[in-house]
Amino acid sequence: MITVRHLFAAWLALLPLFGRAADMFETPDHYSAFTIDMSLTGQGRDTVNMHINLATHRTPGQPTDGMLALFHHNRHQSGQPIDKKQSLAISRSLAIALGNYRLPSSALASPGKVPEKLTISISGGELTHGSFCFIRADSAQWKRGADFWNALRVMLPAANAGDVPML
Amino acid sequence: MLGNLTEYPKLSISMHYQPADGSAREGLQLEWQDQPSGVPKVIGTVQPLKDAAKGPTTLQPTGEKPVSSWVKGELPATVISPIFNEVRSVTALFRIPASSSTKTRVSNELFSLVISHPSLDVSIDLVIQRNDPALWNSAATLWSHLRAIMPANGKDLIHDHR
Repeated sequence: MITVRHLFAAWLALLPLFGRAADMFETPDHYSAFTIDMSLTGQGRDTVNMHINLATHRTPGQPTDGMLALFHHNRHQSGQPIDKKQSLAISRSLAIALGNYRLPSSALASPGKVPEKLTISISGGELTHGSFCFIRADSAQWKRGADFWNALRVMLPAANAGDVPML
Repeated sequence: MLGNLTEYPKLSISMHYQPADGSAREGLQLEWQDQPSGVPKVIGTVQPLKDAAKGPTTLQPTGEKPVSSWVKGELPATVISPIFNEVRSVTALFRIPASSSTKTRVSNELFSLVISHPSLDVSIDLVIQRNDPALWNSAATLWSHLRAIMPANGKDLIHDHR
């Protein structure tokens, strides 16, 4: 039987998670104008890049709230307009992916081997910004990065989504 | 962004500073690796500003061997723990500025902080601007402390930016 005590214990257990998620981002909803670059390498595959540019305001000649673009073989494959709802979903997913980020332990790296690696870089233009690596051997953290990658993949046009692996 | 020190038997911490005119950078690096003896081998490296006559300098990408102008020396293992804790403090302050923020860039001055596994292309790269004073001051203090522990003939080659 779930008691108030159980609910309180669950709330206490989840509290650090919420606190940490807010660490790097003030609140996800406050991020409507920045650029995200994602790069997937390793496993003998060609590098696949996804580039997301979120725009602050709709302006004449720019009737969207951003663009999601796919680069493959260093070639621009497609560009997909993003609406405000998608833009907000991306910011929230990104905050979850990076909220608890930790540099993987040295023990997880295999010297001499190229790790399967996902890099998420954020740039707010001229302001403070950063770049963060995920490796598959760091399974729990890899899942958070992969969830973000997969969330963006489903926004791609069906004709191009096949070029991007699901993680 | 960093776990406990025991999770990183080897690690490289690099910092570069770009002055307001954006013309040149100077850098320093602390790298350690556990040894079978139990005493880690610690290497400190300083990259001074190049001779202006040679033209603008560029940031040495992580993973590339230092250019000949870098000054390198072995350091005592006791430097690792306090610097690691200070790096954790800097990363704990790191925030992505909100789009709606009133913060704006106040100069071209920046610190770049790269925390990576030596010889492996896995890293955290942070670019720190003056628009976040608490983070900037923390990074400047880290720079200053790194500079202070560098090989004696190296710390005289780079500036303090606090």
